Amino acid sequence: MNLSPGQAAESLKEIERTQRRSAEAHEYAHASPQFILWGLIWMVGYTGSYLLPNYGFVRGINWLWFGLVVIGIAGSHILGRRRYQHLTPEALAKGKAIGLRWGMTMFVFYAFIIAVFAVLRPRNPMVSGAFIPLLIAAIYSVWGIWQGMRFLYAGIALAVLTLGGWFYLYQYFLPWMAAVGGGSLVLVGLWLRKV
Amino acid sequence: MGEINAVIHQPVRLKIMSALRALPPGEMLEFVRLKKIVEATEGNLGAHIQTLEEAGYVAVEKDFADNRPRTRVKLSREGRRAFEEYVAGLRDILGGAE
Repeated sequence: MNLSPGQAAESLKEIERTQRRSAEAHEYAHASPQFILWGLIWMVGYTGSYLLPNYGFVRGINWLWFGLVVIGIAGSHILGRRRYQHLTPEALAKGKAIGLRWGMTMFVFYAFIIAVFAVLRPRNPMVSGAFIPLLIAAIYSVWGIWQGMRFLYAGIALAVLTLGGWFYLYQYFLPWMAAVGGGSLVLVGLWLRKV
Repeated sequence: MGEINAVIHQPVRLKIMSALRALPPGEMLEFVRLKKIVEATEGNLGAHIQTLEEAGYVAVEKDFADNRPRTRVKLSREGRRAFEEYVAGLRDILGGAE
């Protein structure tokens, strides 16, 4: 079979288009359960932060979130393992290396948050309750610019909802973040699953 | 002008191969997801996957997930090599035209 340069160029364009769509769909499929998991964790965490009888004493809230983050990391790890369990040994080794990088990324992320709080020393737990979602919204947005526009939309939505709750519903910020912040992550996870 | 792999150079099959090539080696794509990416009907997609399977370019696995039948497709080593040769062939044609 012979092709003209014009037909070859058109085929290369089609390959590029399809590969981009496929890579995005692949990312969405694997991110979907992670969004749902962390959305549920946010719902429990922010509800607990609001309802804890010792609200105002940062320590109780810290322990709650510490426990939830440990559960979240363990859950993310299990979901990550499910992603690679059916693969060939060669691909599995690659998957493990990617998993290790994700683990290190999470470690850097939490170290960064602890370092920022150590320097800024927020006395009001609501400040940390707003800072972390805004940071995550920024990460999703940057990720979305490179990996798929749905992540960008998720980041923008999360930032808008967080700022909206902070400026207009400050008194109810924690339950707002439980319902809308956590809820939006769950919905984004379900939305990504549909791709 | 160059020789091009006729099995791959068909609009739907080209999309199938491109979609599978975008995945990390060894990973599979579910039939329903592939159908959306390729924008083909179920019957059409099934027929083209069969052609690619007969050529040894893709492997099809059928199993059950959450008590529902699931069909997944992945690029074989041979398919990966053939696709890379196909893309190199397209680039050669363009290079020759410049």
